[in-house]
Amino acid sequence: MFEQLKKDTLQQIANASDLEQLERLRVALLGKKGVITEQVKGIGKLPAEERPKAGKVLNELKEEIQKAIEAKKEELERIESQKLSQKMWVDVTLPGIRRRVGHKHPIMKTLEEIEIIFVSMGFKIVEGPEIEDSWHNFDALNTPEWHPARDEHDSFYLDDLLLRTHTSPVQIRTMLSEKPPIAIISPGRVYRRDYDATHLPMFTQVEGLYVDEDVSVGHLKYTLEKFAQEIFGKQRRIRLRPSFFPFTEPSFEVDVSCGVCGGKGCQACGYSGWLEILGAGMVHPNVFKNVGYDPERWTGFAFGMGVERITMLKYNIKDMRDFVRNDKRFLENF
Amino acid sequence: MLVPMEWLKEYVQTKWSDEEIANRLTMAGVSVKNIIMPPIKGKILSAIVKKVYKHPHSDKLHVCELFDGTGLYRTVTSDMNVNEGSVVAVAMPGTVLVNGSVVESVSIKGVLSEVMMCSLQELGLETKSEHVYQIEEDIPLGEDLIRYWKLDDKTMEVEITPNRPDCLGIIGVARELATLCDGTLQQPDMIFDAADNHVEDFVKVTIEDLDGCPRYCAGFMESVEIRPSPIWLRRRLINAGIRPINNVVDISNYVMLETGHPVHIFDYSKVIDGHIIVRKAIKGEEVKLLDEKTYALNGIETLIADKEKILAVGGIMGSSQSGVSDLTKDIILEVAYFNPVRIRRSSKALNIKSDASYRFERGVDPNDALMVMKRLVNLIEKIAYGKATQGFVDVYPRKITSKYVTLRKSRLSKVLGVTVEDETVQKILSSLGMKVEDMQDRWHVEIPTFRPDVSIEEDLIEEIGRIHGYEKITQQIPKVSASGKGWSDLNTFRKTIRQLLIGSGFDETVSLSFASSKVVKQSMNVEPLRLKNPMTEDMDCLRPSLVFGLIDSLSHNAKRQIKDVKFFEIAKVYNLENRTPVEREKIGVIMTGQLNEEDYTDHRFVSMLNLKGVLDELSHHLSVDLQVDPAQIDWLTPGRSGYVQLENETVGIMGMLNSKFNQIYDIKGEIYYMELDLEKIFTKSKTVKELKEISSFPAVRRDISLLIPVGFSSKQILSFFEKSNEYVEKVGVSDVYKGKDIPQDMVSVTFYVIYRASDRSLTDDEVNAVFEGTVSDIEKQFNVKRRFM
Repeated sequence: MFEQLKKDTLQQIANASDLEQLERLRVALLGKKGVITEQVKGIGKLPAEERPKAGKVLNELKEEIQKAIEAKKEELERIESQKLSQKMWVDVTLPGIRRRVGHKHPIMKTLEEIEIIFVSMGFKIVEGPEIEDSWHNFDALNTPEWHPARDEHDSFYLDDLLLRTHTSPVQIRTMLSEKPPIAIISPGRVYRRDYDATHLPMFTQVEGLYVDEDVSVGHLKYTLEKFAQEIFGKQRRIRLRPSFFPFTEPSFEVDVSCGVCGGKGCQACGYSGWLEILGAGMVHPNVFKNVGYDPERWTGFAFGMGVERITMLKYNIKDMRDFVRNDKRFLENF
Repeated sequence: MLVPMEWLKEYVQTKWSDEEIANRLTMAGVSVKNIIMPPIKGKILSAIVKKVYKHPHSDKLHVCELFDGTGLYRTVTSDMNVNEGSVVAVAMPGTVLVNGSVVESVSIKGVLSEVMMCSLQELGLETKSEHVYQIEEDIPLGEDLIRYWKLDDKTMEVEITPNRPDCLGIIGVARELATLCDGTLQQPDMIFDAADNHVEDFVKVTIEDLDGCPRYCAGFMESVEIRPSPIWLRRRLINAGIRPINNVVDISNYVMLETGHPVHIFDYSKVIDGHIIVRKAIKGEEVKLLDEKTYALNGIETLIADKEKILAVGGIMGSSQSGVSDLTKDIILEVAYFNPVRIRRSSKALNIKSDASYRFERGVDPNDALMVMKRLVNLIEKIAYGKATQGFVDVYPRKITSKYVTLRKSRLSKVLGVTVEDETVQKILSSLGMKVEDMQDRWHVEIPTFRPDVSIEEDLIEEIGRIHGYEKITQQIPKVSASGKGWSDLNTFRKTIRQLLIGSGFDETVSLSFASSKVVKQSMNVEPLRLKNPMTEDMDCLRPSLVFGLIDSLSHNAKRQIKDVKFFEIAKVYNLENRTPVEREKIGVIMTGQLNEEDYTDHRFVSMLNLKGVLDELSHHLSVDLQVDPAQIDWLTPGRSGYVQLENETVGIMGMLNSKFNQIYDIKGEIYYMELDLEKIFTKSKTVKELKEISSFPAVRRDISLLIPVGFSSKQILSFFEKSNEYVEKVGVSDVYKGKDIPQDMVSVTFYVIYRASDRSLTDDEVNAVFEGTVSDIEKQFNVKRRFM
């Protein structure tokens, strides 16, 4: 019973070549007026004793057909999707089509970072001229002509003017035009006659100045350690090493603990555990006198750092000249 | 300065290790950069040459038998001067010599040479030796000579800041160490015997230039024996970086290194009448100095002379004739004090930097002259067997006295931010050689003249701080209160531009502000601002334009096959304006090669209009109306150049660099460049834009292609469209075409206009009428034709 029907039907299903044809077949077989549906409806017309058996056989047949259709459907869907995928294929392992975005120069990137740190601490950014007179660059900063300290500031001259050797003249200009309290940093290009792997004749400096009542070395220590931790990492510490600058007294070299060995000493820090990052000190009373501040009432600290040096330490750059060569492969790292 | 460790320890006893000493000194401001360790190690013994005989197989070699008190050794030598009975330094196998070589037992032409007899060179006591060193000192056989002569002594490389001339002598460094380790400073031996005759019988001193030389002490010694210095003296000098010459010269250097006070020794026979005249140089006078160079003097130098000739440029260098030679018998010893500023000026003017000038320009102690003189005599008597006379000539009419500085206790704690015990303060200052008087709320401190750097209260605060230790100061949070914006508006404006350009694909560069005046003139035909003292010829002026740095970078990359470059730099340029140097901040933008190098579907190269696009993008984002007026500009390509205008002011320049740049910098391909004045644009930029209401009614767009003749500015047509009707929302260009169906001297430009009303939908008919009318007007007014009639 129904053997032929079953055989024919399954053959038809197997022969279906696309989803549309399969769907038509499904309707023809199992739809409201489908062949199988009609057969099921016809059971009622059979003699009572044949009905259970016929019902069972028909039900099994119906299920088998349904399964066959489902299976065929899956197979056809897979084929369709494969076809579509062929048609739509884009090799996503190819490089993307980029609209290239440029890069910040590492010096500017570090400078921005430094600015943000000090601005968050309440400092204001002030800029000034690169072409200076020697009063603002030296004399006002307690460095008279023939002072041996001028040796470390070998300057470029333009007739009676010079290219500033540090951004300290900006501090002088600010103090001459404003009253304390003052909290400023002055970033900018400075010039010294020196050119090798660790010196450029032009480099970028950030100097800071804080003048108020009762400013002490303790305040300087706090501010600069905060700075070092923000720029190099929270676990870093600083130490003050006595030094000399004509415009500060006492003066310090500020070292930061080595990030590689954490202060134990390793090759990176020359086995000292410390790396020199900036110079600092308490503003010399003569500097205050030169700008008309009363050194009895006001005290303050000042500091200065080379952005190139900080950047070299931060990114482990060996040759300072890389900063001004502007090799695109170098710039693309930042 | 180089400080041999054992020399330093002669003046102060400490339990600290060498590393500890270095660290403590560094943390007190005497910065030790390095501890130098000589490579010498192993066993070098004193031994006597028992037998010398000819090498059986060579005429040029001797075989020696050596005895060190316990054992016999054989060695082969090429030095024929070694005699039986000589005492020599013998290096045992395995010993590492100063040059790093290792002594081995070797067979030389069939004779086993077990050990090696050392020369002074091999011991590090001479630059070049000819012979095996024959020991003159009385040393027992078998003595360990590395230890005996301290050949393995370490040396500290110390960086002395310019304010501390006292530390340019080993005693000065020892004083610091004694203060730090709570030790006592030992003074060197200054005892000597003087003969009956008096110094004034031999030497006379006249100071004519008292400003240059406030003090001149002279001593006289007879019958010195000029010979090489003993080993210990040589070693100390060599370790301190000075080449030994002969005993008298070496002692003068030794005393300078020890005390920090440079001294000079003249051959008495070269000084006419033994009369030293200290005078100011006459401009143009010539003198040949010890370095065998002849110098023309500048009239500012202080000279040590006799009545006929110059003996020395005081405090800087002796003359080639007056110094100690092998024939010298009697000598005049000079210990003087020279004016630091005069020395510095003279040394700069002559371009001579000597160990003496270095110290005098920083300021030596004017009041230690007699002490230094005595030490000098003591050593010359001991080592060169000279005989001293009674007394010294000491011309010092205006004594330089000690300063007194008051230190308030309250000020000390206010500046340091920590309270230091009174007792500690007093101990620190006294140990540094100061006399301290406690006056309740302050100290009255007498500053020794060897510390010219201490002259105000803050200087004393530093002394206490650095010895007490800055690590003891606790951190305090400053009460800084923000006063307004951290960044100025100009600063923020600059940052915006940098971000825009970076976003547009440009890499930010930083380049040196210098340029070559030759290149500037050649390429731009302007006279740049020249440096008076440039470092090199190609950096002899300040750049008048950012193009020089940018194209340098371009060329650096091109030489490395990197040809697609879009760079910018924001920095200053420098020019003479009304004879005054003026610096102006500019934005320089350069581009060459492929437009979109990372887009492999787009192989276009950068063009003039891409450069203009960068300008338009800036205009748009900065809310300024930057326009370009075509113009012929010397250093740009004709037909592709113009001035950038902003509200009737020229704020920049743009175009394609002319081929001179390609030649000078050896770069192929078109290079586009733009330079804008940052501040001028900033002044006119609007921080807040006026907003137009956005209409929700539909837009109607019309396009028209017009044939534009070469040299015509399409800007006029765009403006005409813009002003043509109240419903014009946007005007633009949708295509530029130049091809075979377009006349040679024409270009087809397709303009589009978008019309939109804010209160209704426009009808097609209405727009057609308006657009047609406008196009006809344009045709008439500008005499241009439609491409499709």
